[in-house]
Amino acid sequence: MNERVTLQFVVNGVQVATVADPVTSLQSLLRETLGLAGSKAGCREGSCGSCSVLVDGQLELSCLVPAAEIEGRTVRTAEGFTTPGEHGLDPVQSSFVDQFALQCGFCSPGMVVATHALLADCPDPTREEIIVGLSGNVCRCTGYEPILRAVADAALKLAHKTGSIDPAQDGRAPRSPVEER
Amino acid sequence: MTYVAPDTVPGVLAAIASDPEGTLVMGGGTVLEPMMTAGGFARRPVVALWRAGLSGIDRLTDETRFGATTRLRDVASTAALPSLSYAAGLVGGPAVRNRATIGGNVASGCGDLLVPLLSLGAKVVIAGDRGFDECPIDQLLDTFRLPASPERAGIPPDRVVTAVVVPHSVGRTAYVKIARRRYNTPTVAAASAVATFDSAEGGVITVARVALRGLSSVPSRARQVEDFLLGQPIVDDVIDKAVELLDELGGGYADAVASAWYRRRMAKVALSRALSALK
Repeated sequence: MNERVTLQFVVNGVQVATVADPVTSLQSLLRETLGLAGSKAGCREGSCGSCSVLVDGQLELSCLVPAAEIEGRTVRTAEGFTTPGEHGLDPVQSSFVDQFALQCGFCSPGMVVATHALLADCPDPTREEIIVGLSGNVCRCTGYEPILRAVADAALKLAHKTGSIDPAQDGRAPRSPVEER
Repeated sequence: MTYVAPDTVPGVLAAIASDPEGTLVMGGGTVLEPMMTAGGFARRPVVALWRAGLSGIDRLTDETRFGATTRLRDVASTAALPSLSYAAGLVGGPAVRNRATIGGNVASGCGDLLVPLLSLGAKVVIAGDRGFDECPIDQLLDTFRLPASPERAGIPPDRVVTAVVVPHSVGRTAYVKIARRRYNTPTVAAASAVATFDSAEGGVITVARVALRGLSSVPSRARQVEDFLLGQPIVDDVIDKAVELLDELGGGYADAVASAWYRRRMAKVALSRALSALK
């Protein structure tokens, strides 16, 4: 039996207090203690990105964060991005829907979190910047192109711009945010 | 099991001292945390370094000193050391780089950054109860146990890496990583080269350091290649002959990522591309 420690931290705007083994992963805390299944348990070793969360605004893989490091921090999971809006989803989530960027949906919560992290640092990303920003998130279904379009679409939405994202375009049309620069 | 995160280096050493052989030293946790989740190390004490003030980058005139817990994300944006920062930017994905540390990458015995660090002539600073020692990385790697383990292979159990010191190179540098994907992908083979030339416009190589990963699981310098390159210009004919020298070394190691056969071949491709990048 490992010794346990008391932890107080904020998850999706709510202050929580719990007791945990200090080396339990944040993923385990979120899923099993707090019932937040949006941080998916894919590989449990930091390769797939399906457990992506924000900790103090920074992109982290919850399977790699020991509980001991979460004291006093602010965590935002995929569940924490749903706000009133189009379809009741936030702009990134609704872009994913509009661009057919999910099929089985397993990678999608992690992709949404990684997209938020990317767009916070880089509000007008090039195609390559989107690829690098989401390079830690693996998808087996979509072939990634719809996801890249969804991120570009979300970037426009979050910047309150208009523009066209035409799935038939290959990214070379002017003013497409997916074109290479 | 106990878990402590001391806020000083003496505190870290004191915590390790109660069970040096059994203690697990955690940097970013990218290696140890998944192993603990999988059920390993259930009763072993953990000493975590994240609060011990070991993070930070000091850029001096001739060298850059990285605190051991400096995250790879920050190593990847260091302008003074392009081959090292490029290599750091290829480790894992963005979230992994937000946690993984340069000290952990070195102390694991199998980290990708060992390849550019070897070619740059880097040293580690190791803290023990007698103070701090600086140790060249190739000397450190000579003592690593094979296969590399997460248990601080090569670092004496009662000591801890506190910094990595990298001299600024006056020569040209290159790093090439061969892998199955472009990003977020483990290395099949890698090569790093540093060369100085006797004149700014071409000329011949006066100093060469070449490091490889692929022929063995612990990165190493390719001294036969280095010796061959001295006094030679960096042209295709010389590069081809240098790469052929690897045939005499054999080697290659197998794991889930690649076979030994494939690694022997990709080590040659990596070396060829790294040397070509010095032109």
